[in-house]
Amino acid sequence: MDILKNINLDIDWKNVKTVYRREFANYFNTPIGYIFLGIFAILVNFLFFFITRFFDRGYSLQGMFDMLKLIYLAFIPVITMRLWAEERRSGTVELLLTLPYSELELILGKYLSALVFLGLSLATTLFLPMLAFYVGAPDFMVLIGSYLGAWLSGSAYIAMGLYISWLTRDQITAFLLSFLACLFVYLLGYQPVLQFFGPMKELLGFLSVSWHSDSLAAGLLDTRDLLYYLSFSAIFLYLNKVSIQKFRRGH
Amino acid sequence: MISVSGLKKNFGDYEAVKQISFSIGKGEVVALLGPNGAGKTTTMRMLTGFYEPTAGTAMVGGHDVQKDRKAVQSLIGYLPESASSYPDMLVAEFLHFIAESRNLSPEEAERGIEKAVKVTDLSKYLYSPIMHLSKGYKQRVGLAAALLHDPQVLILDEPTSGLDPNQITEIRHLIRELSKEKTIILSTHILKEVEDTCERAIIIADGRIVLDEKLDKIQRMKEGRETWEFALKGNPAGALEKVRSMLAAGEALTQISSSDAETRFAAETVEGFNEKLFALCVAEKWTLRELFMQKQSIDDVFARLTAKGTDAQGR
Repeated sequence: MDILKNINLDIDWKNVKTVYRREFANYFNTPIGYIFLGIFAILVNFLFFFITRFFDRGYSLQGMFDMLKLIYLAFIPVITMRLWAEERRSGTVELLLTLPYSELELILGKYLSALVFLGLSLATTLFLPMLAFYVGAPDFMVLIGSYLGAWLSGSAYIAMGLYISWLTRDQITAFLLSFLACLFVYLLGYQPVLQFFGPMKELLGFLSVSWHSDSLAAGLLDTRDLLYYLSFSAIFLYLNKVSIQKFRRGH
Repeated sequence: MISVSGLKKNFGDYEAVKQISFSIGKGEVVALLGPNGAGKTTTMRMLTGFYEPTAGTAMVGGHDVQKDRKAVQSLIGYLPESASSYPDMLVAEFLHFIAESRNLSPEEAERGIEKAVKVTDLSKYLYSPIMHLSKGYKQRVGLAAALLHDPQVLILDEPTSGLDPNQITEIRHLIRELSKEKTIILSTHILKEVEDTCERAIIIADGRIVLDEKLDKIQRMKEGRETWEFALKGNPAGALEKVRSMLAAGEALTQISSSDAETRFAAETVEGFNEKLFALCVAEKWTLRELFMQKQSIDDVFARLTAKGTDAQGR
């Protein structure tokens, strides 16, 4: 464990907080944040009743979480597309990279702001569990596990989307590439696709984001799943850092 | 204060900066001049830590930019060429963000922001969203952000670009004020700006330095010659021949005009002519009414050196 003490990541959490606050404010300094939350809330709440057949399925919220997985494919890229792409396009990246920040401080600040914004989005769906409790008796731990799984799998997509946003100067491209990447990852955990791979099924499934949220949704807080999500995000956050360093060096 | 040696920057195969070395002392005000694409902005970006040099070293305030980037960035106030502020934020909000980014204490932040706002005349717009400001005021916001931590070094990339003539005058005046205490590097391709605000010019072309000289010396540089114009009272006999006899081979004297009131001459000489002429006038008891040197304009030097292309000193 001494090794961990020697790994100096050059992260001053005060700096991370400064970046986080700026980014989070940006979601709400323009109408974009409000519009996004509004559409997200309306979509989830609306689709819930028509698509997941809540009333037919014994008042289970499982349908909502399945639906969320699909909604994420389009919505998470919307959250992340501007995080780096807009800075690169407008030139404010020059401001950020010449202030005394380390790359990880900037990356983490942006990542955390998106995470919290995602949390807010999920909070707009809380009406549905309240309804479920009113008409039925859902399992509380399963509910907690499901929300946690939803948030964590969202965090993985966010880390990916953030990295992809750095790679482009154009928000639309960032969105499209992130969408494709999220779709790819989602499909890795989608049964019909997995069946296609036969013997590789177990391995590929283990790598997929949705696999791990399924066990969380079953109410099991397995550290392997938490580790999976942390590693997944860590890999993309690290790739993001490496990419910024390469940019500084002229590649 | 700033010392740069053998600086080189490649983007893939493209050599943006081939070989740049210079040294700037505390309190100097230096212009980085050069045609577009010469490497001025790239050089500044290496000093501010935006880019890492491909080769060479850059030291600011005793810190190596590559080894101690955050320390260097804390010493420098940088105004980049393009957008240097977030349009969605209020001016005050943005300046506070910058102050926090620089780890200023709340008191230092308040003081620094207040002073920067006063100096850049932003008080009226403190609570306006930056996206509502005109280009000139956006520039001021960027400048205020560069000043609020009271840096010892200011690096300004084309600080007056896109501004109207009044704003340009104000910014130049501001730079002159700031130059009393700070070390300033500013890049420009407006030659008049150099003459107005700086003491020294470094001309960069094609990734190399072609000239690094104090301004008054540049103005004297007409391939090493000076051009003087002077007027004597009246029309003293034999003045032309007597002055001519003072000159060395290769120097020239012509009479421009002559009347009962005064006689004007023009001379092309090497250094020291003015003193010799004065002594001659005293000896001959002539009254010298005017004596001035026609300054080599920096335009001519610039055009000459940057047109030569590869004829660089390669320093």
